[in-house]
Amino acid sequence: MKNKNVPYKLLYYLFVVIIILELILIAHRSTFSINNLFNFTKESTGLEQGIKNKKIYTIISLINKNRISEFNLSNELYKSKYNQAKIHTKMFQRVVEASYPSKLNEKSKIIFTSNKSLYSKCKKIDQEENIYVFNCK
Amino acid sequence: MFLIANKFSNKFLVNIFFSLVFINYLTFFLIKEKTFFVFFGFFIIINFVLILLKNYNKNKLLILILLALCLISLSSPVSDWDGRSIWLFNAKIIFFEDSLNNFFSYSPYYSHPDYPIFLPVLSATMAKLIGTWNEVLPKFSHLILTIPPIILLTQNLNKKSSLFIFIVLILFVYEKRIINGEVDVLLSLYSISLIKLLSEITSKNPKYKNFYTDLILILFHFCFLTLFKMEGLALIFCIFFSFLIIYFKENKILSKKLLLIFIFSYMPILIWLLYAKNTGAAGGGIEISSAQKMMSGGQRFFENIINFKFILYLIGKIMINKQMIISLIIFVFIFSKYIKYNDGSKLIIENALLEKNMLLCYMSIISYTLIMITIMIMSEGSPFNIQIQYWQAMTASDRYFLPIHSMLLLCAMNLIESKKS
Repeated sequence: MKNKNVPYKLLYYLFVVIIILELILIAHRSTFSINNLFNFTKESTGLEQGIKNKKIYTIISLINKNRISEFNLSNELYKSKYNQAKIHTKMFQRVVEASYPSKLNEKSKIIFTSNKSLYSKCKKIDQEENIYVFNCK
Repeated sequence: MFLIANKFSNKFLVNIFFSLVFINYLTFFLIKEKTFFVFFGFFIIINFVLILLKNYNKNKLLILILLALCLISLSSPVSDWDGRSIWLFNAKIIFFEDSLNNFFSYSPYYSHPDYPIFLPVLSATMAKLIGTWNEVLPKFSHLILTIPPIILLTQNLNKKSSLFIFIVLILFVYEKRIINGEVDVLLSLYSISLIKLLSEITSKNPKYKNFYTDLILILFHFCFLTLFKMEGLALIFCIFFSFLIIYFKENKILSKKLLLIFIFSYMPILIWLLYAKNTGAAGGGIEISSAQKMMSGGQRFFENIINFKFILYLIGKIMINKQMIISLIIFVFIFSKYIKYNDGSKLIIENALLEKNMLLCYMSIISYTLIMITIMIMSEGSPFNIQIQYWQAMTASDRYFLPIHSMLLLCAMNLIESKKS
């Protein structure tokens, strides 16, 4: 019996070690951060890690900071290496999802752009890094 | 709490849990208000904790793994496309809008607003519990819903090796999909749990003590599978008709009862689809459903099926991925132990391989595989996809076949459990 138990126990502990390593891998691939655990009841926790794109996060921050209810994105923001329709771009989808309940409306006069020269006649509302918010009323 | 948990059976607690989740959904759907979310959300969490506590002593390793997954889920944001852009985004709209009537007022079509809102309602319920929206807690609802089938599947396991196989399924096949807000893991777990329940209910005397508890569990499995995602409709169709083919002759009365339950379970999803079509069309949102658009009424099927390069690519993507390889290796390894050659090189197949519960698994695997391959051939090149060659096959093959991986491993577990030690 002893001979049988030793390899079984060894296998069991080896399995437990593999389980722990796999859990660490899952945590790593899920962008684990202990700060999220301490703040999981707070508003917008995990937003920055979830978006994983600095430019999009800046746009969301500007929308929240200026309490903008409707906005539009300038066309140059929808760059895509796959040359797909703008609704399929990461910029469109992430901004629509993360900014809600603020809404993207193509008729809105509040425009987000990374090229301020395109809107030189409009009034600048705010700026963060290379993202500008213009009011083109 | 530990003492309270021990007073009830697992199946009773799971039935209470399912009832709370379902009534929460129905209340929102019928009354179109969210005032009940906090009430139901609180009791859903309590029930979830009770189920975990009850099973801790019996199955420490598994419960510790589930607790670790809970910690990881509560420490990580939702970042994968399906979770973020479909399920959690629809949940966010439910959370912020005053009532269901406004649900279709702002939905870009890529988020599939006509998909069932059963899971988004539960995610919005979690957010209502804390009174605010964030990227962490709402997706926890998906992990909460995985616990009941996990408990149902593991509560009667007698062999350590079958438990290990189940842990392999959770950690190495489902991997991060179990916590990232996608729905495919839920479909997989509920489908194999349903197969197990159907096999169990037929193996017992019809007058046994928990017969009606099991019937209610089966009803909830049917309903939930249809309400999770459109693939669930195909999944319960495959499982139930395989069941009828195998068991109808010997269990006519039970089969008829289950057929009634099966028909009844389609009601909630049909009501939702009608509601989405009418409300969406009236609001200019959905004139044609996502499923119809993806399948193109079968038009693309004939174009794609003669494209042999695509067919080979699709089969390659379905067969050669980590999840399928792990499942197949374990299944074939266990399966081969039940096939022997005698001295005259005559093949001997042990009875365990041809038990009815095993036949139910095989038939479900074959029928669902055929349906999913047909759907994938039809939907390749749909306007929902990014216009990259074989986009659907490239990105979704491993995910769509998670129920198949799970059924293969369920077969392996059944075989191990059938062996008398």
